[in-house]
Amino acid sequence: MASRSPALAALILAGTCPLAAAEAPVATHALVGARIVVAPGRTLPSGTVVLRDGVIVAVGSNVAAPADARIWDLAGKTLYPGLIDAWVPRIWPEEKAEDAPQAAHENTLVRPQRSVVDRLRDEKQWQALRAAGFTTALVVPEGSVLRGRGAVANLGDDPRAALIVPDAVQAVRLAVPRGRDGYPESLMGVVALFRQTMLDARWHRQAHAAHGADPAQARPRFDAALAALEPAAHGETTVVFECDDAIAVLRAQRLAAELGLRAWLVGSGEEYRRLAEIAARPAQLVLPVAFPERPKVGDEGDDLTVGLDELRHWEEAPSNPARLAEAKLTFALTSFRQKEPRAIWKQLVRAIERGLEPDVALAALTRTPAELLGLSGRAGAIEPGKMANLVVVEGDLLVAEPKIEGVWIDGAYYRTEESGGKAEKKEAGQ
Amino acid sequence: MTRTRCLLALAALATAAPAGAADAVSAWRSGQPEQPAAVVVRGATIWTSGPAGVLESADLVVRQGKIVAVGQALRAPACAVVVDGSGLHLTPGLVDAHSHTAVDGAVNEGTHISTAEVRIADVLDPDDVGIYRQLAGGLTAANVLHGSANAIGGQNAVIKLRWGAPAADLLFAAAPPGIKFALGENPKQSNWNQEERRYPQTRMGVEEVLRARFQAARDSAREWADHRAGKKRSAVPPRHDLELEALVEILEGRRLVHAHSYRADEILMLLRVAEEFGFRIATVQHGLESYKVADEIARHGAGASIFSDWWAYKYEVIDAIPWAAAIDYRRGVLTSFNSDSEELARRLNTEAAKAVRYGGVPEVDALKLVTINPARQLRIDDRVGSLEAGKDADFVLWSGHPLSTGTVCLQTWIDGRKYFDREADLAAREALAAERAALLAKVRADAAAEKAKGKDDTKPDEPAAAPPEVTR
Repeated sequence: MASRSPALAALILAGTCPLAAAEAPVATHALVGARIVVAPGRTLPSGTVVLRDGVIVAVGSNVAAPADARIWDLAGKTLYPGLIDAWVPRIWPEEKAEDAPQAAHENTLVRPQRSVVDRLRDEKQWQALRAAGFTTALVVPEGSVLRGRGAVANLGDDPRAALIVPDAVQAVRLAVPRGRDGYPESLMGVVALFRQTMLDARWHRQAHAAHGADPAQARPRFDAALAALEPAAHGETTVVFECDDAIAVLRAQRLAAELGLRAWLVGSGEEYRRLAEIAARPAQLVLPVAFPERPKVGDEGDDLTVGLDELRHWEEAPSNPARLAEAKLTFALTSFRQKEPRAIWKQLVRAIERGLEPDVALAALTRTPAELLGLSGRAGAIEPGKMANLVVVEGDLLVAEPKIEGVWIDGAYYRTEESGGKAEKKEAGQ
Repeated sequence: MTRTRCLLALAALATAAPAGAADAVSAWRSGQPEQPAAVVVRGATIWTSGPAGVLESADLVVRQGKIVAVGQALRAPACAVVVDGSGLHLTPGLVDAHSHTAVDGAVNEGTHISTAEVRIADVLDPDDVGIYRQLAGGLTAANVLHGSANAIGGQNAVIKLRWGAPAADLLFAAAPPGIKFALGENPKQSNWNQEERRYPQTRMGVEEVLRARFQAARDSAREWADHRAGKKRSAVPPRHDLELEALVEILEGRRLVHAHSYRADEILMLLRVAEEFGFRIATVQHGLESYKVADEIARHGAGASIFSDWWAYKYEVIDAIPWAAAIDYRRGVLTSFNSDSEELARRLNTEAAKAVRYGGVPEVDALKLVTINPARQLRIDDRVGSLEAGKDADFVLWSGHPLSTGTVCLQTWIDGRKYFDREADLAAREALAAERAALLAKVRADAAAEKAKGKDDTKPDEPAAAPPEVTR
């Protein structure tokens, strides 16, 4: 399989393997002598971080390693807070007709009751994320329209131990799935289905409450999809719209306002085109930095196979994050839409060259997504009390090819596999 | 603007248009034009499409986007932007009563026989270059409709062609809501879509679908009324059904029906079903046989929004004739010409001229087929469609007689803002060509730099990069 897919091979080459898990469990670790980027804009030139039972217990220049700690000499290395990817879609198998859930919505695009917890971990995907420095992710079911509930997890070995927030958001994409046969087959039909379903979820709660107060009347039907959607439809939980272009962001904002939803928006990278309008409404953005590949053009003269708008997008897309920051929009960054998570670094450097402040970039991978996911007290900085999630880098992180030696997740160390040969062989032998 | 300058501009168009300019204008880069506090067009031949008829050497005065006066030798504020209209013609902005422009995604939600819940307004695409091209032909407002794949299609969106504005600001806020209906071959599909057979397969089935859905809408309205009045023992509320709620709005006269139809028999059927349920059809769309039942359409109070001379593309349009507009007009039907096409929408003025050629409609009334008449059909005639004091300053400056094929649109204004200017467009082409050349050069330089770097690193030949993904 690996031989047929260069992308997959690259993914495995850059993989990580858990080291701590294979050894006798050590509960206390002292990471000694590293430069410590405590949070964006706050750096200790050299210090010690003490991890105990998966939690950071001490950080500082004059912290002594506890007697029971395993000492890690990290002189010459830099520690960063574990990175958080706020949009990681998880491949979801197509629903067969005979497997359609009972007591559920008749439309297969309305599956808000789906929970990503049931299929949380994908070792290859998680390995690739760790290799890029990510320790935590919002994982959501892939798909279209009402896709289901996403969960926040640490990207460790054991999904049960790793799960942080099992029911974090409702994932939505207002688009017609490829090869769709049946209602809806148009974008406007998708929007209509979404609107009707949100109203139905509100009705579901109202109807069952009315019946509960007086059971001696006709019982309203129960629908597992609508029941699961009730909190989101009432603005109590978050709906995340995965948007394919700038117009889709504006559409999602309008719908959220119309229906009273608490919404975030996963962007497309085209936001610079409609910046003022996007900024005019509440906009919690999760931003990809997957800039378009260089257009293929002929060697000389004009090339009519390439439109001016395509050329402009190639030119302007790397400025998108800086432009959003300029417009005072806060955003989290995601590796979503990259061929592989590690590719984010090359792209991020281009964004920084176009004026994105490095501290803003780092915050968009740590503090901002932590706040967005309600993890401010537990993630986003190297501080006592926070989860023991860190990135170990030789040199700087915000470079085109950072030397990420490994990541700490819940106090366990995952070393980046340098040679990768072993993993590839294993994969090829399957 | 003078005739000479205008001719020069035309010459420039013929010689200077660079290759690749066609896709160059982009709404997201255009921004909204300024709205001057006052505008005055001086000395034009003004086709008011209103009671004043055509005024020679006349002026039009605009303040804050509204027309304040039309007439000879008018006084205008000192600060007014002056447009020299001498030798030129001025008409109301053209109105297209049947458009599918600026729609993101499919125009049909053709799966169900009724999709009254889908809304064009949800998927307006302000980046559609069709908007700009139609502005360049003098169009200022359009009735953007769902397709004709089902008996009851989706909800329309009446828009002004405010190029550069976000989708929400394209909407003509004062326009009453409407909906698309369709009769005949397209909804019944019995002669083409046999892989996905759907009820109904006949014209009588289409009629019955209409009746069944309106009966369901009546039942739903009654259920809600009973619930609100507390008449039912059950406290469990009814469900909001967005399809039926749109149909209830039709029954209550709050939503206009624009019905795709060709044959006289199906037109009569539709009028009778509407009368049976106590509402009026706003427009018969296409209505190629409307001339056969013009008296009945006029008596019902519907309008006919038809093609000028488009027929023979399928059997059910075999009886279409180019004299239809003239006949409908003479029998007292509120008649308009529509485009149903992004291409045709760029030249509705010459469509209007065909009513002069076929049937001898007076020129002034022929122009009304694409100005005040479609505005009346869409119930926006208190705001647009004619040049009268109090109306929106939506107007077009033409190089000559608006019904002439030799005439071009020079300027198009909406709400007192100049959205299209032919001279500015021509002038911008050079800059666009330069931008394009610069970007192409940059792409090539980037590719060359990467190639050189690859050689420096003495890496083995890498396989060619995958072609860029098409994102839209």
